[in-house]
Amino acid sequence: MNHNKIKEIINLSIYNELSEDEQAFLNVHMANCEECRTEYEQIQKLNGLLNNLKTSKIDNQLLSEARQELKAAINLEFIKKSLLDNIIEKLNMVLAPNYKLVFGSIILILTGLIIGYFLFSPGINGISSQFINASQTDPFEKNDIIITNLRFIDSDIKDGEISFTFNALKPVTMKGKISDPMIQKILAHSLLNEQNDGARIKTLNAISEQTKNKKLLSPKVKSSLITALKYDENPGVRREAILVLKKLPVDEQVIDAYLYVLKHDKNSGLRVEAINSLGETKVDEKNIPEGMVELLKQKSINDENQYVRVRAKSILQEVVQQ
Amino acid sequence: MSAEENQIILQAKQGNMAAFEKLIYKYDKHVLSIAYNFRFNREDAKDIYQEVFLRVLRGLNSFEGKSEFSTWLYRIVTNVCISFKRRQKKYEYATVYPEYDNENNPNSISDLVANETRIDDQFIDNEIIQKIWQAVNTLSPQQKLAFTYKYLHEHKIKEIAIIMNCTESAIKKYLFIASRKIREKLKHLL
Repeated sequence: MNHNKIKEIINLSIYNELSEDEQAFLNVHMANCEECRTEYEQIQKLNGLLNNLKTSKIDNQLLSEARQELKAAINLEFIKKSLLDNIIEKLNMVLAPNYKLVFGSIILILTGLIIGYFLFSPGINGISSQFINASQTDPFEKNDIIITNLRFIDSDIKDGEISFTFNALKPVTMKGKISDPMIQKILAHSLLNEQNDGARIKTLNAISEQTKNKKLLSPKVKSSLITALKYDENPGVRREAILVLKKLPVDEQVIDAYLYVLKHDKNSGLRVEAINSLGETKVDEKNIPEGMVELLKQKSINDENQYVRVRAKSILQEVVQQ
Repeated sequence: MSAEENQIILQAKQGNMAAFEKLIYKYDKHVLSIAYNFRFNREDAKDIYQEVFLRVLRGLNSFEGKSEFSTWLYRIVTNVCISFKRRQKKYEYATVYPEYDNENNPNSISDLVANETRIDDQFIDNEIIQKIWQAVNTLSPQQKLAFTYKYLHEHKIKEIAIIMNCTESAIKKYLFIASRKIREKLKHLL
């Protein structure tokens, strides 16, 4: 057996992983081989040195923090799940056989009302729209235009002419770097106005990508992030927003947003994120935001989440010591 | 798996959170300890801990009891630890302001990632431990995890092979290479 193989066996011997026969074989070999004896002694010394790592154990505080944060994360998980369940339940209700007829009838009536409104509405004064002469321009040159909201201004056909207004929507496909100001402008707009929760989360993911490219976010995107964190109705979106915000340099606006979440957000997981973010922030003693100390005092006593109470107390102590 | 544990798992599967908590608390200290020994960073350890138990929560219904619960759990720990490193690399390179990555800044994020020395200095004031940990951090995730299970948590090679879903000889190889690399880095201390 070559020395390399023996060296592997020496390692196993140190780990007490050899059978009796293998150990006996190794002992015989080492008795006659100085190189392998030296190897054995070296590995034993290394093992003694590595025992130092065993002294670095986790403490109860770390365990307690981990448990609290896990509880908050599980709560968040359940909130997401219950939202999804609610949607599914409502869909099931709507699509249940007994309701199909009612649902269909409502849709039919609504469609009739909308068509009737557009057909017979005399037009709304004050709508500003560009007047196009049909003989001069073809608005359908590009066939991807969607026509909506057609309203007659003049539906009298006696003179052979009619006029109407409509919205011509053109889907725009845009491709570009996330660092592009125009892309950022659209992302900021989408974050605040897009109704689809998934689209808002995807927008946040895209913004998060930008923070990875070592480039600045536009003030508009940052402002939208803060607005989403404070006011978005979906806790999942708020959570993504705070995670992105944490990657940005801390300033007064960011601290103010954390304090807002800590004070107003009903979701304990988000309050945990906010208090952790505050804890990681070095607040200048001369510029402690107004109301921060008072809020921390309140939270250290009143917050329903134990972790938030404990963390608020420790941050308060740090701030007061300054 | 004991009958009592089986019962707790069954209750947890039915949505009994008290049972789930009981199940977690039986293993969570050990899981956190592995995570901490793997990263030597408190925040990372908590992240790994949280991800592991969220995966347990989401996947408990798919656990059929064909293996020990602990084996299933440590397989999750293994996957999270190994993928966590990749995620860290992905995110730690991210910085919004270039000056954070200035090469004159000794604590720049890219330096920390490149040297893999993202450890809690405040918790490791012992210089020898720091040096050992820096040596351990030069290992691949698989080697480091096998090392953590073997040296720090004294699992048998057979168990580690099951947990890490590979052969015993692969684990022996990881440990042999780990030992050789660490020895090379620490030769001035031996």
